[in-house]
Amino acid sequence: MLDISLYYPSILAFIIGVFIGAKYRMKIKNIFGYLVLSIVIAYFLKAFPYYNLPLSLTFVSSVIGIILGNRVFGGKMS
Amino acid sequence: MNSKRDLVAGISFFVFGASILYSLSNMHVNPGVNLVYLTHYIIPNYVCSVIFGWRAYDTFGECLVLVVAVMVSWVVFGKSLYDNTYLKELFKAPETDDYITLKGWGEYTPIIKFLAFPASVFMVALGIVTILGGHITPGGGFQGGALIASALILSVVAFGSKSPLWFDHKYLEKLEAIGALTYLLLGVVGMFIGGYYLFIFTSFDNIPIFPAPKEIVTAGIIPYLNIAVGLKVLAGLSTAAFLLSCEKVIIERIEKSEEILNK
Repeated sequence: MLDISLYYPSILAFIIGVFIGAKYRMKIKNIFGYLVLSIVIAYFLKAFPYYNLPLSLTFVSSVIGIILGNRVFGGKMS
Repeated sequence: MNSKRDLVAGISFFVFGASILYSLSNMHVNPGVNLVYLTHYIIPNYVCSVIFGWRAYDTFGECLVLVVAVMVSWVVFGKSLYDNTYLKELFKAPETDDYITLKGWGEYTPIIKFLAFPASVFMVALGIVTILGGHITPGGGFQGGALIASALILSVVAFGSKSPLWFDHKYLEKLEAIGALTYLLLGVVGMFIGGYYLFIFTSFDNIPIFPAPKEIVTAGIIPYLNIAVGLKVLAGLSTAAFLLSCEKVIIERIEKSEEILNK
């Protein structure tokens, strides 16, 4: 069962990421590269204390949020 | 329109002013925050716990300082120095809400641009992580907001007026207002629940305010306060950067136009 207490900061990070990602006026290309790099960074960043996760899921989910916000709501140079 | 704004401003000034005065009249170190830091041994001694106990007020003060700083930079470098319409006529700028977005603003080399864009994405993500981990790791709203604002500054420095990350004026206004209001309202809610302004309540009707592992569930509203501060600092520093960079553009433009006139 999904334990919300472990993933709550990740959900918040995703939402904030979408809000800020929507303000990128250039489309983010090479999404796969961003995801791989974010996982590598998140592994070295480590999870918050008391969160027993192998990597900083908050970081990964905020990058995913930024990319999603950019692809769905942003990417328009006015 | 103006009368409504005046009314709202008056009521909010009265509510927040009265609640701060009330809480000042029976001031205690907030027990909620101390509990987090003392019970779980995140900090080594009681001095730190006192500092952390007052941290919410401290951050509140920081926010107000930032508001004043941004307002002063707005007064010095903002609209009072130059009027939009006058500028647009002088520099034949395109019709847009963003009076800063003038054409031909300098850009850096492709190498810097190639690195600046992904770096700004990861800086924003790191800023978000710093904001959300403020209650258990070093960092917090102020630092995270500053990181996100520096991602904007990096992007603006590298790309000039074609900056991929761009917070327009209205967006910054909204962020600033949402951040400040969330902070103040959470303080008032704390007063209703615990009796003190900015009281750290951890659950509402047996539902935890911030679902977290059981050791740190006492964080309560601190993460939300951090998010509010993060939004506020992000908006404040971006506005200051935006005003100062704009000043540089204006001076360059004036020099160029003077050169043309002298020829």
